[in-house]
Amino acid sequence: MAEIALTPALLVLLVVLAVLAAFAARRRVLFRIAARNFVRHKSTSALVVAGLLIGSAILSAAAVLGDSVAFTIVRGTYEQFDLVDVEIRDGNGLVFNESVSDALLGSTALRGLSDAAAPLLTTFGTVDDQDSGQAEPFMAVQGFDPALDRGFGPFDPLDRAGDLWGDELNATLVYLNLRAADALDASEGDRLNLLLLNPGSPQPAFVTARVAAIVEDSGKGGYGAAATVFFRLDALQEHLSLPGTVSVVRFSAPGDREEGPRSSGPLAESASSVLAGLGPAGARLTVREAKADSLDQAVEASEGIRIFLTIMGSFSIIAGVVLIINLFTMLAEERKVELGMGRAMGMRRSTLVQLFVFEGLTYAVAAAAAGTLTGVAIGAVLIGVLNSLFGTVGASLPLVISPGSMIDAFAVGVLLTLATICFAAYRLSRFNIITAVRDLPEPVTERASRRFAIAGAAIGVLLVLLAVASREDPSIMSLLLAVAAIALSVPVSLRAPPRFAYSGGALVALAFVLWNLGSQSVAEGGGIESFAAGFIGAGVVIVFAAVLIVIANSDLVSSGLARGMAASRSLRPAAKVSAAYPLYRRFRTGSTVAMFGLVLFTIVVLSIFTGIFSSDIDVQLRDQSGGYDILGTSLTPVTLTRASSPSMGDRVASFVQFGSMSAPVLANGTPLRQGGGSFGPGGGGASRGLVTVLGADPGFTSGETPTLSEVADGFDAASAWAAVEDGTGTVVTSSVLGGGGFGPPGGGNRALHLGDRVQINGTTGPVYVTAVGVTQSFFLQGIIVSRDALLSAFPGNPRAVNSTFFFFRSAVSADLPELTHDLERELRPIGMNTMNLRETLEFALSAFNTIFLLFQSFLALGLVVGIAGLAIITTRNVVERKREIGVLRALGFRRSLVLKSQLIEVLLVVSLGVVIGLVVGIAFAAQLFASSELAGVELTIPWDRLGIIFLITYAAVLLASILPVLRAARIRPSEALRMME
Amino acid sequence: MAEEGPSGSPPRVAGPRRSVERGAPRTAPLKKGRKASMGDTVIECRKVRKTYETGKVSVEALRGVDLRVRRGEVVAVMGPSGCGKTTLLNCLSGLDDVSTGNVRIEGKEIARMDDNQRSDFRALRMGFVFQNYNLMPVLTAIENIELPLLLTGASRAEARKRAHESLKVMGLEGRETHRPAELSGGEQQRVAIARSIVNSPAILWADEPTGNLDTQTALKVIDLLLQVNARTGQTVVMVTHDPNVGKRSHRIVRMDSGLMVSEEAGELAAARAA
Repeated sequence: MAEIALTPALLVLLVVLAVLAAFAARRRVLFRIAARNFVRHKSTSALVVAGLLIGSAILSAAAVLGDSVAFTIVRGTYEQFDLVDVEIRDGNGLVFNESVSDALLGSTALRGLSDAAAPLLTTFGTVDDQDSGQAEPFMAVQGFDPALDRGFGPFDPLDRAGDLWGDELNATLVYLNLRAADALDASEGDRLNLLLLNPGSPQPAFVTARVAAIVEDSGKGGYGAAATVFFRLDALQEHLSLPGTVSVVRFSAPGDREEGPRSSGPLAESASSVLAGLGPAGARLTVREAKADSLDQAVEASEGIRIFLTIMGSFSIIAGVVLIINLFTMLAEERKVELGMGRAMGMRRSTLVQLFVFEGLTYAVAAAAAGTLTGVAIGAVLIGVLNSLFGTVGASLPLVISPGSMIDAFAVGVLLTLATICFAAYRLSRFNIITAVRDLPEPVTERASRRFAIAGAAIGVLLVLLAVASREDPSIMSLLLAVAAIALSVPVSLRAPPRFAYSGGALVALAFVLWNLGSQSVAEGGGIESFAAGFIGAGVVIVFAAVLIVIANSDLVSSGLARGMAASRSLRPAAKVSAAYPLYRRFRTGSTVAMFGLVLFTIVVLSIFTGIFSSDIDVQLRDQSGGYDILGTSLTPVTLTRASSPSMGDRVASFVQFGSMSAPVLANGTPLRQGGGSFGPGGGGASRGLVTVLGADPGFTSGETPTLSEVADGFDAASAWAAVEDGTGTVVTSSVLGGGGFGPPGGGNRALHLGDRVQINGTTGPVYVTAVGVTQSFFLQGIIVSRDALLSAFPGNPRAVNSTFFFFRSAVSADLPELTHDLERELRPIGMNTMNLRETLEFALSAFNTIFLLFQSFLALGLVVGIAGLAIITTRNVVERKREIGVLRALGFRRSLVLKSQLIEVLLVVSLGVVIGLVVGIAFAAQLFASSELAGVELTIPWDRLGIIFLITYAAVLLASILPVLRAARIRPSEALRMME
Repeated sequence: MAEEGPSGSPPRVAGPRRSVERGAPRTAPLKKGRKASMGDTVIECRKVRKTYETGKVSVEALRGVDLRVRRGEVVAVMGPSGCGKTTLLNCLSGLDDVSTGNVRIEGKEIARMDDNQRSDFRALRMGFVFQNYNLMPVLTAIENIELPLLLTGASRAEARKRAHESLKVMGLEGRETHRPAELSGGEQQRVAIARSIVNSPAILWADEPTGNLDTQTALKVIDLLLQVNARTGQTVVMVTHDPNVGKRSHRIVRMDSGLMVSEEAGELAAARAA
């Protein structure tokens, strides 16, 4: 990561800088003028740099976070896999015959492509240290062959010299890695009781053992990245009554742990060929380049985070682009007379453009450099906050600053600013010389209006054609039509009053975008990038449409505002002037309002989405588990009674039990897959083709149940659960819905729809139930049927007859953490593992809120652009209006009234941006909530949080504008008037 | 042009606390047909000096000016460019401070007023007409005229009504909603005059009011100013370099190099004597 790659952005920047340097060498005077302007107006330059640096800061912060995550994943990958590059496992996670392993190890082809190969038998179990008194309910267990495993290197003993190869291990002697030893507070020689999950039997295996040594978590001791107990392979096979079986065969590609992934491809291919030749025994096994896949995931994760943050920060970057255009328009106006004189004396347009570009280059470089450094600081803060949040669960992100990424962020920042400046400079160079020399407003000729109208018509027609071509994708089609409506309003304005033409076009654009949000889903199609891009596109269009409506009706807005403020007699004269100025300079005001509107829109939408999850823990618990506050899973299938443990006597108010079987489940003939997690993403994650079927006891379905986010037609929540109880229905968890991507489960690409017939392939044949509801409970995976339905599919199976999945509800008087711990301890013989749901939810909500707050803060950086922009505009306004301020003072305006007038103007502009951001944000969110995926979720507007954000915005704006406003108030009338006489 | 002058009594000052001394004499609008007569001294300056310090350079713009202007008088201040005419106007009107000397307006010493008092005084007692019109470009004609009325606490309706009347007097009906950029030079200056008199101020300060106008329009504008003076008795002090304008006053005061060098009677004085 310390390499500096010649990325496309860097390459283009170097070329551009070389070209500009060549021009600068030929036109040294121009370059010196440009550079002098930067140095001469220090406060303005500082403001400009502050406004422009945000784009680079966002890119840089995104890179820091992405690189840090990638580094963590890469480090974790190497620690987890060490020398293991290829893994061969059963597709369904089952054990397989050692003969397959022997065949693989014996293959000449494979021997030539690998450094080491060895099988492992893996399982999980509850471990109880008799000497320390500590226990862990869920620990990894590995059985390895000391002889075969030598190729993967030794174990590194803790506090002992030399290497360990496992030769001294026997049936009862084991190694513990450091994670396991810490969890158990174990030492060498400690006696352990283990209850091992038996892959080949419903009953766990009870084993006693002694700790032969504690080994480091690195190398072989770290394989699996979990707390692990290491047995000899044959010993574990005997304990589990699984002679001659293994879970995985591992191969190491040539080279060290970092070189291995580069050559694991041919190894994996060769392994697949060998397996293909083994018939059915080999056909059920899958070959995976485990380490290379994980490293690819690291790159994907890094890129994903970088892209996500960049896309979410796009509004701020767009605001920065608008600021640049605004800024250079003002600079051009400031120097209009001298530039006009220059043109009159023979200066070419290209020279003007070069002048602007040179000056812009100084701003671009300074802003990009400052922004890149600022982004590092922001990234550090983001990581710090994430670490403080997740540090409690042992996770931490290091701060990784990659020079290559920083240079890339710098390059993109400079290029973005320069490109905008070039566009602005070209536009601004085309002024009328006479009006410039005389400092008159640029005339709007009929020819120019016609040209503009033709351009609008051409763009509009083109966009309509593109929209028709994109009719398969309603999101893109609606966006194209929306922009087309705005473009077509330009030619319409030649025939109809401009107010109606532009307002009409903008309203049509709003309608297109909001209609699409309501009828489709922006989240459809999956993928964070797709969602964010849709969000960005829609957001930009509707914010700009809203700004266009305001600007097209600026006279009404102005008089309305003046009327509103006229209630105060003392403010009336100031209100008259304050309301008139912003809407007289439409482009300047419109672009400033757009800057604020864009950023505040994203903040409002994000704030509303955080309101999806109620912060009331009791409400959440009811939604997630029906109010049960302890989740339990056991290794041994049992039927619990109140006598099962002392704590169940009076400290547990009620409990329910679920049978749990993994089985093939189909819908519409297609096998369903179970995703990795039910939070947020639906689908995704690894699936082994089996779905967890939970058979619920009657007490569960007739008592309080988790909230259903959707029910099938003709059902409500009560009747849906009743259908589950009577064996005809099933409630599906979000992890089974499929579709993938961030956001609502499944989106539009669901594998299963409510009302579908679901087929459970049991041991006696298929059992059919109807999908009647969806729950988005974090704590349930798979599908929920009645106990009877489960038994009819798996009659006599201990895991169907008894239970391995439990919900407990604590008594009011019970101490929940203590009860959670005691249940686990008392039910250790059955391998009970408990989870405090209340605590878990509190942590999850806190994490969720913190992360969203981080995102909001990240987005709020864009406000810096708006605030800097407004400060620059206010400074510029004071200069431009010096004479007019002198006139106002001559008429009798007191200094305080001039001050109030300026402040009111500033606050008006910000308020327009706030109102637009708020209204458009709420409309956007409301339409999204009305879409099918979020139907039933209540739209809550967090007024308190938004109020704080708006207050901070106003305060920051006032602070940034106070100096120029004070300067305005201090203008001496005689001085101001003398400049014109 | 209409003969009607601005109707109604001067607005009652309400709203913001005003620091103007109570009982200050106001100029009451005269009834139609009554000629104004000149009365007590309304402007008095004694040994006024004004020096501008800009870095190491010191410029003495006024070098001891004495002047008295009676109520209702039209005084033209004339002289070559750079003689201190505008500086004198600024000092007398309180737009600028004097370096030494004494300026009294309606008996009140300007130098003793703080900035707020001067601002209030200007709002109530003074009107300004400038060479460059100096209208607010973002306001319409009628809004420009309303501004002084709003400043002195008039209600929106009252201000609008009186501004309409002023526009009518100036012959600008139909131009209410036009911004300055949409008006000709003469029209802009008429709006400026309407703005300057809408509050019935005691003194009208005009700094080269015809400087940017063609001869015909300039004459019309001067006629307007004189009509205002005749109808309402407002004192007018105008700076001009145009002898055709200057002679149409009661008194012509000539300046040179920061000093008052001569005075002579203008046509109005002769007409009065007659």
